[in-house]
Order: sequence, then structure tokens, then C-alpha cells
Amino acid sequence: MNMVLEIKNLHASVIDETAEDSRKEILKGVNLSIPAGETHVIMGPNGSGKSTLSYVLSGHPSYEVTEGSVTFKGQDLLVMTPDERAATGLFLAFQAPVELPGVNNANFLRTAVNSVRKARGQEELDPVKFLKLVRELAKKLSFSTDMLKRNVNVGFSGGEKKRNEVLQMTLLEPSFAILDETDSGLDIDALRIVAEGVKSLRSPEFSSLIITHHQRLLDHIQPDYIHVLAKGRIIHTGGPELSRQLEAEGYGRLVGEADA
Amino acid sequence: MHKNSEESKDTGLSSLLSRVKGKNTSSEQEKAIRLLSEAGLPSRRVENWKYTDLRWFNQHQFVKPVPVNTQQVQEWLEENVFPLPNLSELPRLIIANGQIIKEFSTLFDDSNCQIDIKDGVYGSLGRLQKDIMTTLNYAIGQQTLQLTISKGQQAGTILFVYLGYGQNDGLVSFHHRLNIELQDHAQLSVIEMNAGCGEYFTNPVCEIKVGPRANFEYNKLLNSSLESYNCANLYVSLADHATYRQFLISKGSKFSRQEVYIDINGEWSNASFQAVQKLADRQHADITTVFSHLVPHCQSDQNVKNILTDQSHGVFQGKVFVHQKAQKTNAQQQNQALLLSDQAEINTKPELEIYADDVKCSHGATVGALDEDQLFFLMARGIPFHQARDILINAFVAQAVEDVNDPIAKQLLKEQLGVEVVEDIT
Repeated sequence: MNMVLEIKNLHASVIDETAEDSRKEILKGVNLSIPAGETHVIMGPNGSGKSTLSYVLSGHPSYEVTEGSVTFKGQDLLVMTPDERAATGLFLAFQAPVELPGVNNANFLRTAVNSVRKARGQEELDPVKFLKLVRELAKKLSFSTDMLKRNVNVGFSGGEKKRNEVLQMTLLEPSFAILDETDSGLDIDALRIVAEGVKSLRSPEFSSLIITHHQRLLDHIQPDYIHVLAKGRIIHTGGPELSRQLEAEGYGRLVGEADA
Repeated sequence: MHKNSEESKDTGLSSLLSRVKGKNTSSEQEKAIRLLSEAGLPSRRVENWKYTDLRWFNQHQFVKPVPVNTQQVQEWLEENVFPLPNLSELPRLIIANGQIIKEFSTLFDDSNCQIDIKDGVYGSLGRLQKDIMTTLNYAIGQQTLQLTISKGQQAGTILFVYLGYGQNDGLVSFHHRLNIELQDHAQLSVIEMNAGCGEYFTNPVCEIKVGPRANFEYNKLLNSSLESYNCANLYVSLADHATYRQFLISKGSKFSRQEVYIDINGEWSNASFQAVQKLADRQHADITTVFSHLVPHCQSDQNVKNILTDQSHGVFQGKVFVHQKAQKTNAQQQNQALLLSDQAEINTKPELEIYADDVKCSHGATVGALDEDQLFFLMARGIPFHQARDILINAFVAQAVEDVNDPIAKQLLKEQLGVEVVEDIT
């Protein structure tokens, strides 16, 4: 099978120079393979390493990989800088997108799009073409064009920030997206809009890894597999029915079995 | 005041003073020479000079400027002014090596401004006894340029260009004196460009009297040679309902110190000072301000931003004085520094001296590196490191020039800061 992402025995630590124990291991041997075209979900208790996994995959400097490998589209992902990862087709939708005071959203979006287009050997978009594209997409996401004029995420509501993430994802045309709790803090309408945005990207060339705590998003997006991450490892993998089972039972039994 | 052990006749302050000693001098000049001869230059033990070291003075022999080659001046203008229609059409005054270059100065034909050039140094605001660089200006300066905007006159925007060219025989120095007076309801916007090449020392003093309901905007670009030394002192006096706005960009110079003294003498007046120091290599730049609120109901704000790389050193000393009578004062001061290398350094010293009890005064200082999460966010969107870094630096300084009223100045300052002139593409 054609794997987009192959994670083997991944160990990673968070670096905190101010802490006494400056290297704290969070991921303790993650194995995960995602074929092209599939949607996988990661669920798991708080503190199990879900966000760490997404940061490690996208190259955040506060995390250090101590063991294992990650192959993305046949290339060693871990040697790439974050921008190279983005250009290769990886996208991370942040759980808590940062605010960028003084950076105009439309200009940021255009710079990002043209950076990846340039790196992929595609023609850069002039302002007119770009605006046409971004306006169309914004409409689909019920994203007011006023948000294009404002500074990136500054004064955005939680829902607006998440929609901005989905807008960025759509514009950057990734082949693999990680959505880190993109559904958290969204009202029912916003959730549907975000889910539609993710669904619209679905194709045999697009895979995703969705980190979530809730069934609701999964009602909109039917995943292929659900993995349970606990204590830095994937302890269980199941089909789409697993999320309902977890919602009913909680993680206790699975974590207990893994410990045994 | 500590006296530097500077006895040699050939270098330092004495080489500078030897230029004027024993000449026919005015009483002010004589006083200044005497003060300097007695006290010498301040050392870093003097509180006000704690972070800025004047010992480089002693490493140089100061010399008089030789007449400037006007060809050089023309070339500079052809490169930096003439190609920009907005800038080239402004009435301008060109001073090179301390000398007014009349053939390129169109300000004399401008009927909105009255210009008077007098021999000797005159002034009424500068503190001869207290501010060493002002004393030096009184001691060595040769002439005073007086610019008057008469009552009700809307003089628009004018351009000042100060050029400096180093000489082989020693450290050449220029000591301009400019006094500007805006009478009632008058308006003037000044764009000042400082540039040059080689080693030189500039020591200008400028006095600005802003009359009742008058409006003055001063946009200064210090882009002098990276081998040059620049110490500029500025005195401003505001009458009632007057508005003073200054934007300063400090990026040239090996060494610079800009002292700004603003006396708020008239009620309901407003003073604003925005500055950006963008330094690299071993550049040293110091901004020292004293805002004195002497009457009630006035506002002032100061924002100084520093972007420091390599081993550069930024200094901001900002004082707000509020007199007992100056109730309902609203004074705000902010200093921010972005340190882009481990060896860059910022010294910041805010000072509030308040004798009135019904006032709003605040000050704040922040020092930091670029935000790692912001940088990561941009890179995760495919933007390479250097470009991501520039976007964040841009965002940091952009606000400082956002409020410049004069559109020509705004464009120029943005370009000079490397602030990408971001068009609103929406």
C-alpha cells in the first residue's frame, strides 16, 4: 500500500530549559502508518502526547526527537525545516492559533501560498488572482472578508481562528493535514462549516490525521481508523465504531489492558 | 562633572576648542568655551552619561571642514531625492559639511518660510550650562539659521538634507544651529535626511517654538555614514493648543546620541515622540528625552522601539517631569526592544518625576527576542525562516510609522525602515 506517512518507534521529548528536568520524554515509541486517501483519528486521555505528536511532525523547535523515524511521501521528514515540511505537503491546523499583531491576514495568506507554490515549482499568484481565490474559499467557509483585512487572528473569536486555519489549509493544498482539536470550542454551525471544509479536501491524494476528544466531528467526517494514544504510545487501533465505544466506556479499560 | 585627563593639544576636545580660542567671540560663545575648558567632557560616572561613552573623542584630532565638492552633493541628490517626485518637489535646504549649498536649495524661493541667516550662535531654549553637546554647539558653531512661519501660514512640507563627508586630515566636525518658530495657527512639516560617507562628527542644535494652535511635524531620518558620530540636541517649546509630533528613525552612525527636551508651556497642547532605532554591527545609539509638563491639561506620549542585532547597543533614557501646577496631565511612555542576537544590548531608564496629584502617567519597557511560537506558525505555513523573521520585525516597527500624518514622510520612513510598504490588497 502507498503510505503517505510512516512513523516508526518515535520517541520525543519537550525541551524546557527553565525546568530542572529540561528534557521530558512525551512520546515513547509511536508506530503509525497512514496510506494515501485515508482519514485517521487519534483520541486519548489528556497529556497522552497527542499535541506533541502534531508538533513533532510539523517541526516545532521545542521538541526533540530522540529515537525512531518518520517518513513522509518517501522522504525523511525529521531533517526538514517546518517550511520545507509545509512545501512537501504537510499541514498542521493548530489547536490554539497564535495572534500576529501588525501582520495583515490577506498579506500573510498570500505570502504563505506563494512560498509553498514557489517551493513546489508552481507559478506565484498575483494579488488579483489570489484575491479571487481567497474570496471564493472564504465564502464557502462563511468567513467574512473583513477578517482578511484584519491582523492575523487578532481579535478573532475562537470559531473565527479555527475557520482561518481551515482557510489556510485549503489554500496551501496539502497532501496530508493534521487537525489538532480543530473542533474544540466550536458551536454547532461552526463545526459543520469546518467539517465541510475538511471533507471538501478529501481525495485519493489527501490524507488526514484528526486529533479530537469528541464524537461530533466524526459524525460529519467518517474516518477510516481510530487510534488511541496513551502514555506516549498507540495502545489500540479500531474502526470508526471505536469512538462511540470510547464515548460510552472512557479510556480506563484500554489503558488498563495496555499497562497489564 | 568629571574632568577627562585630556591635556594633549592635538586630540580630543582641546583640538576642537583650539579652533575658536582667542578669536573674536560673543559672550555666549566665550562662556561655552570656558565651561568646556573647565569641565571637559562627562565620563560615564555622570548619571546622564552612564550608558554612553564619549571617550572616542580623545582618539581623534578634530579638524575644520574644507569646502565641499558640489558634484558629490549633486550625485547624492540624483540618487536619493530627484528620482522621487514627491520628495524632489518639496522646497529644500541642502547643507553639506556645514555649508548651505545654495544652488540646490530651493527653500529660499519658498514664500511660506522666512529665512534669516546670522553669524554667531543664538538661541533661547537650549541649556548652555547643563547639556554638554549644546555647550559645544555654542562654542564652535558659526552661524544660526532662523526659520519663521508667520501667523496662520500653512507652510506644508519642506525637506532638510544634512550631508557629511569625511576628510583625511582628521575628524571633521559640523555644528549647525537651526531655530524654527511657528507663530499662531501656523503649520509646518519637516522631513530631515542625514546622510554621508566616511568619518565625521555632527553636533547640531535645533530649537523649535510652536506657537498657540500651531502644528508642527518633524520627521527625522538619521541615516548617516556608519563611521560617523552624531550628537543632536533638540529643544521644543509648546504654547497653548499646540501640536508637536516627531518621528525619528535612527539607523546610521557608528555612535549617536539624540537628546530631546520638550517644554509644555501652554495648556491643551500635545506632544508625541515616536522613534525606532535599528542597529547592527557595533553601532551605539542613544535617545535621551525630557518631557516637562509645566501647565495643566496637556498630553504627551513617547514610544521608542529598538531592533538590535550583532553587538549593537541601544539606550533609551526617558524622563517625564510634571510640575505641581500641571494637573490633568496625561503622559505615556513606552520602550520596547527586540534583541536579535545574544550579544546585542539595550539599556533603558524610564524616569517619572511628578509633583501634581491629579495626573495619568505611565511607563513601560519590554525586552525580548522574537516570539518562537509566532515564528514557528509562519514557518509551518511554508514561509522560510528569514522571510518569517522579517515579517515579525516588520510588524514590530510598522506601528511606529503608521501614525505619521505626512504621506511623503510616511512613505520615506517606511522604505528606510525596510518596512514592506504593504498595500491593502483587499
